[in-house]
Amino acid sequence: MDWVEVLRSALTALSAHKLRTGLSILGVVIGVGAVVAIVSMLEGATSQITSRIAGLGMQTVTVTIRPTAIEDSRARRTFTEDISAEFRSLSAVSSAAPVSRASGEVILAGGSTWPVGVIGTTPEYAEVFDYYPVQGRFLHPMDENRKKSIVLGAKVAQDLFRGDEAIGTRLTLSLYGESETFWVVGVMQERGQVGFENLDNQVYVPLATLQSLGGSSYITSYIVLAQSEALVKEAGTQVEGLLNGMIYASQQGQPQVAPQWTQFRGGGLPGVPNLPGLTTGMVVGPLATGAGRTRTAMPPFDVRIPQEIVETFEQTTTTMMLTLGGIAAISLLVGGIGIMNIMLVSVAERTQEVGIRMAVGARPRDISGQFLNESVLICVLGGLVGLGLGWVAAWLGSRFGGWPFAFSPLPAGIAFGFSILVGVAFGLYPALRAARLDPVEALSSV
Amino acid sequence: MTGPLIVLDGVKKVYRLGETEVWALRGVDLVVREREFTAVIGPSGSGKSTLLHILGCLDRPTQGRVLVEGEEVSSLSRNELARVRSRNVGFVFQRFYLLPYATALENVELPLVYAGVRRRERRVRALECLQAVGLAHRARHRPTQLSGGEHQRVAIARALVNEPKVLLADEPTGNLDTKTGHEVLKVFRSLNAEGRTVVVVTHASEVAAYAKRQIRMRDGEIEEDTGGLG
Repeated sequence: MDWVEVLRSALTALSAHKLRTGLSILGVVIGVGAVVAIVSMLEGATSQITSRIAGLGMQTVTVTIRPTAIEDSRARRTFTEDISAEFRSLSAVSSAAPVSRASGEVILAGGSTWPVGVIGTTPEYAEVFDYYPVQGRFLHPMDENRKKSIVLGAKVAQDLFRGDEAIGTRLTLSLYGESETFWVVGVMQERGQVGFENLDNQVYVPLATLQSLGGSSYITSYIVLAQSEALVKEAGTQVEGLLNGMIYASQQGQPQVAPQWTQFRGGGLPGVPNLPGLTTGMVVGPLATGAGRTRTAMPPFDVRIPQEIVETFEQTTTTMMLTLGGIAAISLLVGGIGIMNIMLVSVAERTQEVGIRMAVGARPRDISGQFLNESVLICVLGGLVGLGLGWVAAWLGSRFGGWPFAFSPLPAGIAFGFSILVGVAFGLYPALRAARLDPVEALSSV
Repeated sequence: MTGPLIVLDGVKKVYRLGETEVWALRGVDLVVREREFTAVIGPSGSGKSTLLHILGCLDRPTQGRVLVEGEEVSSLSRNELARVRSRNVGFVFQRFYLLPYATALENVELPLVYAGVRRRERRVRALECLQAVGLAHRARHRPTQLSGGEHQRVAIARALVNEPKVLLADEPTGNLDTKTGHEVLKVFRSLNAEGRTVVVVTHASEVAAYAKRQIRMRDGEIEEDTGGLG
């Protein structure tokens, strides 16, 4: 029998029971569809997150100050603008900028307001992010507090000025409940998502200006640019060493500070959320090593390089994919059992047909081949429908989830291949049972 | 010219029905020669159907030897036995046994599928055989659209399509009215006249009258053989 004939007769047999065939392929459809949809969605979401992290530049080191440390006035005093300068003096570091965040509202002419993210930083920010103005200039060391300068992100400028000249205009910003007037000195290029924020939706003011306005305008992070991508790790180590040394020194001078930091480990200060997600484990608290104390404390800062963040994400998604793959494999297995059941029913129903075929010259081998082909065909059909549905689901997911659509052929292929394997594995027993039928008995069965 | 086609040598067949053993054949010696038209006649339970199944290699004897064209077949595997069947035997049954979801043409093609004949040739040969039984115009019809006589003619076409050495018919007229039955038997007679070996199993003597050689069976043994060397 040639394969066209094999396919034809299997299709004929399956189309004789369309509903039954449809139901029996359902398990495989769901299994394959789930794998394809989930893996594709995960990949799309991951690629978006990874590209955002990569948007930070693979050359940058991020120093995040823990919220617990910001709450503590003594620790707060340690993290100043001056540290940026110290970072810059490190051999692996090319540049560094402090970042302080605030939420403000632009007060428009009519009195209505427009919320914006306000970043207080230093001129190095442009260099660190490789982010430059298209009009005017970025912040400058000579910017004074008296005449407050502000630089607008591309989206903010577009929304507020709609193409009109922005440079030199006055902008009233409500910050910490006070209205402040700023002078627009620059409009930045479009940059979009970097890390977890959109640079285009922010405005930039000198850190000193922001801090002079009061409120809780503390430095929340430092962005450090390494000399090269190869030196990112080294830069991270140096930054960490510098910070550890400084904290150690400050403790030598003020030994009463130490017990407070050690409290962070035990759930943080009252009323301050403990953020376990920020723990990397790579930083060993200075209290444990430097001061020779036996108690360890969570350091008040967290140094991260993009590679690590990407790796953490990839590890997480790999684990998720394996888990989901396992679940999908189980659903395929269940589908396979369903197919075996259907095939056994089919063999029982078609016993006489088996007898007829044997009487006209079919070998037992031909009979088992026929039934095996049917179960594999069920799985192939189920697999194809599953691929299609999974693809559609992944596409819909990407549209509603807002991440790029990614169709990964490898897991789809594996799922499809696995479904065929299920067809063979669970079709084998019914097929062999059909082949073992005695032709005379089979013929006389009704 | 008229050499032995199938030889049965001391063939016995036992069926086990629960605790009891049923002897379908109690030792049969028989030679079916080429170009013979033989009728096996006997009451039900005389073992005539079992004899036909063993002649057609559809069943295997419990004891004794079966030779098809001089080849011992009792020791062959089930797959090999199917090959012998495919090459040498065409079956016609009382209940026709057509595949209900296949057309007349597809039913006739079926033996060729298992003989490994290519698709195009299959189509041509199956049509020729349908034409030979006068049903070329019914090729695309399914069994439900055919009358009893047409069923049996399709079945005969199917039995002939492989050009088997022997045509074996088990009560071919049993489900047909007398007139249609006679037409079917005439088909057998003309096939035999063309040189085809035919064995018909029946319980009716008027059916057996069409054959040149009559074998009478009773209780699993041959009681009478009119043309042992005819």
